[in-house]
Amino acid sequence: MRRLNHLQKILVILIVIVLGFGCMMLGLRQQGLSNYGYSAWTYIQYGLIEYPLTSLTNVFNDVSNLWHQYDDNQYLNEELAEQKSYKTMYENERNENEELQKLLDVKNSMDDAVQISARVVKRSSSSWDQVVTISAGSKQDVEKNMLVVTSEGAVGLVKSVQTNTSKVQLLTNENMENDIAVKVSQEDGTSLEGVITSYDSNKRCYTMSLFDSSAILTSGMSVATSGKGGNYPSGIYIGTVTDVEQNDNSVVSTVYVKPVTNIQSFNYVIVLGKGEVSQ
Amino acid sequence: MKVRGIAISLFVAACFDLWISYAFPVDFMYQGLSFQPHICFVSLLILMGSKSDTDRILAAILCGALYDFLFISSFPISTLLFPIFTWAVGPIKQRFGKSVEYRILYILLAVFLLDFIPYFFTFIFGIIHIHLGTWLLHMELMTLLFHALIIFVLIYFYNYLERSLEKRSVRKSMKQKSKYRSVN
Repeated sequence: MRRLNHLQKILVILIVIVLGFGCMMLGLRQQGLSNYGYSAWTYIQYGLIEYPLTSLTNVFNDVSNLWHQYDDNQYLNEELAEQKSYKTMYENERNENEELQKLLDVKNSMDDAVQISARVVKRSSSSWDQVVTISAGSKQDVEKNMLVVTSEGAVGLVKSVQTNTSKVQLLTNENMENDIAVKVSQEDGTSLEGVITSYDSNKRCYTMSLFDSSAILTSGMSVATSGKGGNYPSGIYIGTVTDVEQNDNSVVSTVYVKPVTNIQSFNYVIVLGKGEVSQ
Repeated sequence: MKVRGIAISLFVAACFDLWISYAFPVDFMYQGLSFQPHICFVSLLILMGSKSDTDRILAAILCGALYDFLFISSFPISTLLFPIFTWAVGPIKQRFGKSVEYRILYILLAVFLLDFIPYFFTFIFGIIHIHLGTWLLHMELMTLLFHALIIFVLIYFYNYLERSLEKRSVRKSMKQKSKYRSVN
């Protein structure tokens, strides 16, 4: 038999060691009481081989998960943006619903008056406080000088009528064509008559002239239409008294009336014609 | 290549086997296509092909035993099969010369048999009941395709490594010679 060279001798020794050690470990593994060999063997195998490779695999898995996370993030961001727009739409619908509900209450409280429901179709930013266009016209029996009210109260007068639309001059228009006959109800049951003549843009109030200069008015009193003059019923809320100016020599006092709260933004209106309103 | 270089190459190849197995685990339900890497085995056949019979067999036994105990826990499959296929490289070389095509075909056949022999015995003894066609389609097809590519890569890589190591050793010896000449 040919003699083994140096390298071959080393290989034989290594084989004997590895096989011997390995078989011993395998044998020890079978016995429940001797876990030392098994534990040490498993630890070496795990620590030197499996753990580094598992860590590397985990790195690749994490990187690929990052891509998935990125895609999920993009998708969720889009969903969130859609949710925000749904929220805005919901709030818009809810506000419109509330406005219409209030308008319905107003409508139900005025059985005798002529009532035409309409919505605002145009309100230009350049004439925001002056004119709006509504979706009711001569076809719906709208007439000139009819009063236009929102759920809070009166906001304007019909200025011109077309077939299906009408232009409404708001009461906040500084150049009001027609005065509005109003009254202020007092605690003793009487009422003070006057007219709303114009709108003071500095004070952001209507200016009302009273026929009785000796009348005593206080802030917080409600001002409503008197029904005298114009094509609208009486008792429609105009605004609230905020200030009273007394001229020394003049007969008529100037009263400042704050408009209804939603005059800056309303979408639905009722056009009112002549008739008595229940108090 | 030196013994140290061969040992390191085989160790790295075995680590690659383990890593690929973790990254692409075998589907033992045989539902999809999967493959088993044998990069260490292929490296052994390529690197030990030019050594003597005794060297090949001893190295293969040692490599197989270490592979069984440390990497795949399948003693004594690799310990027995690695030396058989590594020894067979010698007769194949004698028969077909140094032809690269026959070398590649032999390695591919060895990889196939390395998987087939355990499957055959486990099938015969009723340990598994997978039909041969199913096993070939779901397991062996991708394995052979994968190794067909790997064999080319490894042969090229090891040839390149050997050439560069040879160049380095030649340069080193020439430096030493010039050093002796200058001393003399």
